[in-house]
Amino acid sequence: MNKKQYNFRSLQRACIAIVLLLLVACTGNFEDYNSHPYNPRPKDLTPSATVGGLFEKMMYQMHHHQENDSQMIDQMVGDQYGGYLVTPTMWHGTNFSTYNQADNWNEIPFTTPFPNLYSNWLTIAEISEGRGYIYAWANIIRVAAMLRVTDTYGPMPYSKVGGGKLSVAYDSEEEVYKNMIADLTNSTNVLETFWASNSGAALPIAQYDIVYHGNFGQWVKFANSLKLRLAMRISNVAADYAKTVAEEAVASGVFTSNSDNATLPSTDNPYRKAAADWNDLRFGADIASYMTGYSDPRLTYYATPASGGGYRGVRMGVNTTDNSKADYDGFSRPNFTHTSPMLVMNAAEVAFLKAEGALKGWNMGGTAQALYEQGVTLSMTQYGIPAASITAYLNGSTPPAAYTGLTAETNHAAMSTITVKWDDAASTEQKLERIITQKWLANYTLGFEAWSEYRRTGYPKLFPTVTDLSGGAVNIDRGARRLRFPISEYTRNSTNVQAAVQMIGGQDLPSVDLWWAKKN
Amino acid sequence: MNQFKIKVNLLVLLCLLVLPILSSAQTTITGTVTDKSGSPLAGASVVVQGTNKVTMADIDGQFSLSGMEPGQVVAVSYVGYISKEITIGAETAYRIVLDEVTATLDEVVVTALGIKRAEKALSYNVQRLNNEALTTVKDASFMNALAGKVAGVNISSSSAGPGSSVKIVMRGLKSIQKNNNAMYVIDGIPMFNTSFGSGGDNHPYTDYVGSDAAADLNAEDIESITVLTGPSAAALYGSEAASGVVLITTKKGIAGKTVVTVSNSTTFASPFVMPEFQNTYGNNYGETASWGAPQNLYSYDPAKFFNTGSTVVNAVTLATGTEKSQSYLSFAGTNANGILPENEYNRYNFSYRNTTSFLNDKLVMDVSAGYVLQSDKNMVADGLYHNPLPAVYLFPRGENFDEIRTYERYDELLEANTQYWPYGAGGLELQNPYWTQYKMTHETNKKRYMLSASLQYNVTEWLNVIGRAKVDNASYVITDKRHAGTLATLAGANGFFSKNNRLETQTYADLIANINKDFGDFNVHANIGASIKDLRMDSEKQVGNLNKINLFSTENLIRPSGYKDDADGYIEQVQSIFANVEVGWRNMLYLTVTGRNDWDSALAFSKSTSFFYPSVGLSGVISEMVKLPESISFLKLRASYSSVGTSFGRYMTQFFYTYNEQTNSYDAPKVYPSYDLKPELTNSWELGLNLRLFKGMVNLDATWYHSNTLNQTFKASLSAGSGYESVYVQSGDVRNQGIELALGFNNTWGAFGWASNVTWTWNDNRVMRLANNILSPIDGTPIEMPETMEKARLGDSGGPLILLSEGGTMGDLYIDRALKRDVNGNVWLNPINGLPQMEAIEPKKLGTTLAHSTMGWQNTFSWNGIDLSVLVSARFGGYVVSGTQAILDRYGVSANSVKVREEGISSNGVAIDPKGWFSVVAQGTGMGAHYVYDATNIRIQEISLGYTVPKKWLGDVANVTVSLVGRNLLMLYSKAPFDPELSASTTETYYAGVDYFMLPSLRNIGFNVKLQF
Repeated sequence: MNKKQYNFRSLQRACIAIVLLLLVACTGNFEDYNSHPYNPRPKDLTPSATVGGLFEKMMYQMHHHQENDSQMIDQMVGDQYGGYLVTPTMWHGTNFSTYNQADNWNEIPFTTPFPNLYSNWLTIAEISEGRGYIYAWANIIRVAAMLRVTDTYGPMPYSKVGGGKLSVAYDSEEEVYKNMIADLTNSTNVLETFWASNSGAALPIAQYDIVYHGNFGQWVKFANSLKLRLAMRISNVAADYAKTVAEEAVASGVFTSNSDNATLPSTDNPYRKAAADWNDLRFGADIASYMTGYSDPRLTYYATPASGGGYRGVRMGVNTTDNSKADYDGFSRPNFTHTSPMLVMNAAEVAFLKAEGALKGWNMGGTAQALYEQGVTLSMTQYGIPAASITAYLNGSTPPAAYTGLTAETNHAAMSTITVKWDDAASTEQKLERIITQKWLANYTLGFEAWSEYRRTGYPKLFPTVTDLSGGAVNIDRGARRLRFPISEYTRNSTNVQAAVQMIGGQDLPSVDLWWAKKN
Repeated sequence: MNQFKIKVNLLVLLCLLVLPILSSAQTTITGTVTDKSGSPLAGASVVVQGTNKVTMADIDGQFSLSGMEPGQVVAVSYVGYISKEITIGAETAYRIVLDEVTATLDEVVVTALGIKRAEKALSYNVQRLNNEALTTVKDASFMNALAGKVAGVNISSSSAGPGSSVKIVMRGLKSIQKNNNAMYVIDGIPMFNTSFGSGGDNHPYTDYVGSDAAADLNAEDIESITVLTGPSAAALYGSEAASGVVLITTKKGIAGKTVVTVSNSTTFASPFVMPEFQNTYGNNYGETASWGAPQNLYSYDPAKFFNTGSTVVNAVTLATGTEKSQSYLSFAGTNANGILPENEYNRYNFSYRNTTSFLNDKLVMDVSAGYVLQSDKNMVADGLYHNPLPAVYLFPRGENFDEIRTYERYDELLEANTQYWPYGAGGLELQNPYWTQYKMTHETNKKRYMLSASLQYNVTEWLNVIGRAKVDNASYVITDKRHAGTLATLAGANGFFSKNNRLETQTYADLIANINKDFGDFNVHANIGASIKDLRMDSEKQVGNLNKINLFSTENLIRPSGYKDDADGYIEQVQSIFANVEVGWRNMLYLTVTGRNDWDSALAFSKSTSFFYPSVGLSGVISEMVKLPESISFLKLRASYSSVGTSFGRYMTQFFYTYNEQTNSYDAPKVYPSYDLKPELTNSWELGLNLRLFKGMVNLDATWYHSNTLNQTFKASLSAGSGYESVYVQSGDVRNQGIELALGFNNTWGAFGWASNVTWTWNDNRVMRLANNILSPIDGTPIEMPETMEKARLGDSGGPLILLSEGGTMGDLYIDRALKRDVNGNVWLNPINGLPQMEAIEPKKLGTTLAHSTMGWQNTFSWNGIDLSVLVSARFGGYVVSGTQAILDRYGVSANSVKVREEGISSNGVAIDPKGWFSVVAQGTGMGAHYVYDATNIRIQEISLGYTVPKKWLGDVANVTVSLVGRNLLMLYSKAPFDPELSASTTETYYAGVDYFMLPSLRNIGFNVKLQF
């Protein structure tokens, strides 16, 4: 009996020892178990795929396509402050349209694109070791996406992002612009060289390029056009530098035809979704006033007819009751289909930028009038408007229309008397208004660009909000001049955001004019 | 992996098959030592007089002696019992019943791994509940029946109605980031509780909720429940046990007789606490809100929308067996209809269990099989989109509700019926509430089977080896159908369909050697084992709008616009070795030491490959050691310390791309890539005493505990400039300390019996350290962290929020809006519109949402077969928030809005327009502190009145018990406009006690009939 017990004991020990060995040996599968069954790791992908897939997300930061980001950023802020679109929904009664947006909404145009862009950009920077055409390409997209952020808030982290830093110092606005322009120049240099020897090659990365499908020659044109946009923005505050940059960009080759246009594809256009499915979006009273006054043939492409016929926009700030979005059911909505592409930059804008440059006496390869008319024509042909209609439009001498709203208190006279037809005898200021107004009409729905140019030039003249709940923080005749820095930066990056506040004069207010903005 | 499992199983079999041959069978006598009630007396000492043969009864009270001759005398003794001597005759099996010296002493309880232990040896708190506690007042989910009956446990029912999941938190919230719910163990085998109960956190977009795996159990199958509130008992169970364990022992067959029970339980449900509404003022034409003139056209009562809910449980059980083999078979059908139309929960349970012993009882095999068919429909906890209540509550009072009862009308253009709802979305996505219930249907169908087998080999009197394996597989089909005519926010013009197929598999296996041996005055009881746990899930979901109208098929989804496809899955495996050694001295002093080492697959790619955690406990029966006054029958003191390790979550240790269903692309992670993580740790200790006075007439169990949960892994939000949203950091220390008290009294006076039990729980939760001053894992520089960490906004912007700060609790409630006041402190009125204004303020602490203490008091009276039981439960302290009340006020449908209309409201003598007043303070879901309420409440939780029909009345054919039962019968005290114990979300830690159109809690009244043949 005893002997047998001992036998058993040794057997038991053997059993446990074997089990232990198996246990230890068996953890070899743990690395497979702890890897997601469907989400790939870099080693599961080809070299092009490891970075290629990241470009799509970055590119959509140039014009948000994700439905909530589009609503919270492009629709509520850019398109609304830029006079294109209006949100009729009250939500919680704290809205951009009434200048009392809640802190956690106010920060979204900052806190969304930053990680969306940089988590991908930093991964690309690490894999590419900061060299080569992939990195150059990523940098162009970075500039296009981040320009919208700096133009909304002012100073922002830019040159010091990365390198493992979790709290990043802000660049002043001047630094941001100069660094962005330098980045664009570097990128065009790299891509021109790359494209010279690879043009026409079947690049594996091409499938991830949802804008130009691997045509890096087009990306060079886009970068130059973007550089022109940046140069024009700072033309009032860094005149000589802006002139040099703008002339250099134009000389290197910018957009000249609609086939150059940069657009992002869509299968579920967020403007359509917000307008049609959610009932949260309407055509703006401002753009309706100008386009109906001009009998603009693009109107049918921009907006849906109002329920009683014709086109009726909605004024900003009417969304103060739970019923407001239902009240404005019959008004025009932006006219998009599921697959309408998202505009990033078009040739018409470039023509108008050149027209304004010519007005300033820069060498833009044409006169202001010729370039202005070229801009209108490019925009019209972008929508397939026949030549005869374009000619008629260019000779238009009707002013914008007055606004008639749902209630008498929302009615308003037209903000401007500017017409379409070029008048060489007009004052420089009138010529500028004409160019900017037409650029604005051509850039629908590049809201952030519209709002920035409005703040830079004062054009197009926009209706004030119907309801101002800012408590005096915003002068409604000038509109919001920027957004306050994100509340989260004050707790997560306090030293640096305080330094940024000093860069804009010591007060973090929506009434503070940005560096390049028109000051009165 | 499968290969490995097969290997282990073969090994187990091999060991078990070979061993009998080695230790060949001998002629022995066997005996069973029990008390009068038949409960085994584990550890009873057995001495053959005149020899040195000594043995001890095992945990089932059984012993065997070999080489015995007739005429020998065997003395059986046990502490607290009168010793007995038996003379061996021709028989080989003996049944020895010992009489108690005192009325009560210790009992055998089921502890970790299904091991039965004498309660007096345990160094930690255990609380037991028998089947009656669960089946007297039945609920579709058995855990709801535990509320108020166990100390140290906080049970929140879901507002989603019958069968919905239950939130069980023991000894306070411990983890900042992870789930704090308790763990379930069935017959010694852990059950991973998949819950679909997460509502609430994302209102108003809150999706449907579902049931949980624990709710699948048939209460009739449960023999008893042991609740281990602390982690010390659970060190043997691994990580999940840090939050406490509910140990469930299921029924077995019975030797020597056949018992059939047939039972029916039928309960009816109605809303328990409802908001107070008004019907005096109507709406203005065309407006949703009821701020118009007085009306007397319609008398509308929102409560009439609700049906009388019903839960019918029919169960049949059969227990039978011989000395060698016992079988148990049961069937139960649970059919519940919620108070909302088209809200159903159905479940059918089949279970079978067989226990057979072979080879002279050396080998015991236990096999069981269970099959569950469960379905539920339209389970909604709160929110706007899928919830009919906003439309029911806010229905414009000047309109005719009867008109919308016909919720659909034929639309000739659509060629289909479409929704009839002329009142608009009203800013809250309102739809016809009948449409929401009938034409937007969410259904879950689950098929689940559980198979388990265990084989125990009794090697010697003091050693046995047991191997167990269990598989628990469930498949789900979850569909969401929305007909054409649904609000465009929620469905395309031709309808919407979503289908999710999900498969879950859990496999558990262990091999344990159990040793129980005496060495002089010492007794050593040890369990040494190894286990493997393997959890897998695979899910495929397709979502989109429909092409052909109302044709609900994934083939009919419009692609690519609006189409989403999501594949998900995981494998997580934990392999462990563990040991539990208890040394007892003279049945009065016990020292227990445990240790466990876990290899968790979630650690792969990190620097740790495994983690170890120990525990130590001491228990002393003072009443055995020293002479105490006569009145003290039993006194035990105990102390224990334990440490429980937990792995961080899976997939946190390496870079991978995540699929984004909205953009149909793979994104880089937005969490900073930093993968050097360590397992977390909860250290806790507890002190307790168990006291029985006057021969057990009075019982007191008291425990004081203290725990610290350290190294918690959480996402620290980063400044946007870092390029990432957050980084994982490990820091933090959450302390919980508290007292659990259970005081009982029971006595009989002739035919009359009275038992009274009070449970009282006090928990003090404190965040000792957050992530302040943590260093960046990348470059070692300090990461700037706010002093407070926002965990939840209990409503819309401007509503109260939960902020964590060092020194605060995990439920600290703050406000960041307040009425603007003038220099004199009066409410400032805007000269333009005469209305007050809310202004943003620095976050100001109001209090906590956590309860200070909870109490349950149960009184049971019995007289001649009649039993009356009354349970009163109470919660003291804490706050709750009602967004519902704010919205009802703002829409002018609450009784409160009438009060303000009629009594007026003013600031410094200047009247304020009532509608305008509510548009300010009730904006969103209520601003600042305006809709925060004290959660203290006292209620009559349960009453049952039962009668056992004397058997002779029925010709000795059957035992029949009938009872009338009720739950949530009367709220004795509550200041909140809803039931503060109700929870929309059962998995969220922070979003608790918030009413955002939650379904009301239910009052249940019904009857039970039980026949036992």
